[in-house]
Amino acid sequence: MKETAKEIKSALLSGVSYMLPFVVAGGILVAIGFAGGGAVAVTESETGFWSRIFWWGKDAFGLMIPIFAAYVAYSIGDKPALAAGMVSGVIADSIGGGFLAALVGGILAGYVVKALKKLPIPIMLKSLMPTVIIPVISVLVMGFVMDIVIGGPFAVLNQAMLDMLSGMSGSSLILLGIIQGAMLAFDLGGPVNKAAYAFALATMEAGNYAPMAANFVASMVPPLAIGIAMIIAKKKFTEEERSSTAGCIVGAFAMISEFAIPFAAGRPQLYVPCFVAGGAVSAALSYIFGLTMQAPHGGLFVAMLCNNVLLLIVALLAGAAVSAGLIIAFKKAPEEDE
Amino acid sequence: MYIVGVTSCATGIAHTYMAAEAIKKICKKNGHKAKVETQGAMGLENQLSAKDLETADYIIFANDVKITKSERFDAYKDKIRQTSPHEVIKNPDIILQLIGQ
Repeated sequence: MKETAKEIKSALLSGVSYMLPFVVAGGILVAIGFAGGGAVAVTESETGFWSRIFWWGKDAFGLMIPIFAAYVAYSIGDKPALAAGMVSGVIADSIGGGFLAALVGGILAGYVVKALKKLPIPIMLKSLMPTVIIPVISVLVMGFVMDIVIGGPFAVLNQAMLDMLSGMSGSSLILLGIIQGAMLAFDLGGPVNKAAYAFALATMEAGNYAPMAANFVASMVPPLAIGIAMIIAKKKFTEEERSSTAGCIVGAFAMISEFAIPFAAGRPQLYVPCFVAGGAVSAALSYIFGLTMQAPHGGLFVAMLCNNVLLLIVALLAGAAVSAGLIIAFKKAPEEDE
Repeated sequence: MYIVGVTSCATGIAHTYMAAEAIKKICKKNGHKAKVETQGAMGLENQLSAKDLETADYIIFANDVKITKSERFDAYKDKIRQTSPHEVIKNPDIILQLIGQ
């Protein structure tokens, strides 16, 4: 049981890992298209310089869910599971089951292939297994499962999640922001962060862009907070630490929380609570401001896809200020630090 | 002893390389030779050769993401010790426990 849970967790992380380049390329090309040609103009035309860039981005983005499901399945069932996983992802997309259905589809595809591999097969037919039997049967089974068995329920579940989200207001939204922000800032790109990111992606895929805005600000807070703290309280950091100030700030703008890892890894008991507090504040503010974000990644470089750039920056700076303030308050100067 | 390792994480830009460094550092400190293959966002780097796997005393897997080209390790199942990149970074001594020291 524990082994299976571990296998599924590893599958989820593999899926996200292989999907990220598609998400980033797609998100940023869509943003560039929007920025150059105007949102309405580029979506209505298929030719023209900016429109083409926009649609290329859309193509990359359209592969997000199939690739995710494919590599979830690959992680469990190895190479023969890739086909069934990818097909499951495409079906998940087309039945409106989104990310959730793709995750379940990928996992099932992986285990279906794993089971097929164990079938007792006469030696003379052995070479038919990976070339014909597994691909045909696993895709057939997964097609049936995705389309007929879980398709309906997942479309309903996806819709219910969205209805619940859009029905949320006031304190429950703030609570959601706090949880989401805390998770994002907790392990800076690790599994907890990626689980929260998957939630924002899932809702975004289904047409609610608020969680992604919260995801943006909370992911950008940790490196920005470190950068700010190093600028304000120079004496509390070593020369070596401060050499990464510019990197942290640019990393924050690009929404790469990983830039804060060297600090968090050295003294997690100090930094992690500070990051979590700031991340929670910024994500909660994002919900209070009603921010939405239509790109899945890209930081401030895609800020024009947010409905209110100014408030996005306010939420980000407020969270960073909280984190930076806490770091400065609790961190001692390097001499007495150890 | 000769320790080889493979590290990977979801984003593939930080934990992967930090875990690799941690493995190399703890091995060096304890007088073991080490080579670590990183499977990060750039794909396979510092790839382990067939000879590395053959001569290694232990193979450490510190991976969040499924190991790429995992069939290379099939023949050496009893040398493999499993952990996670996070664990190695937080507590490098885990490597010594895994190899029974």
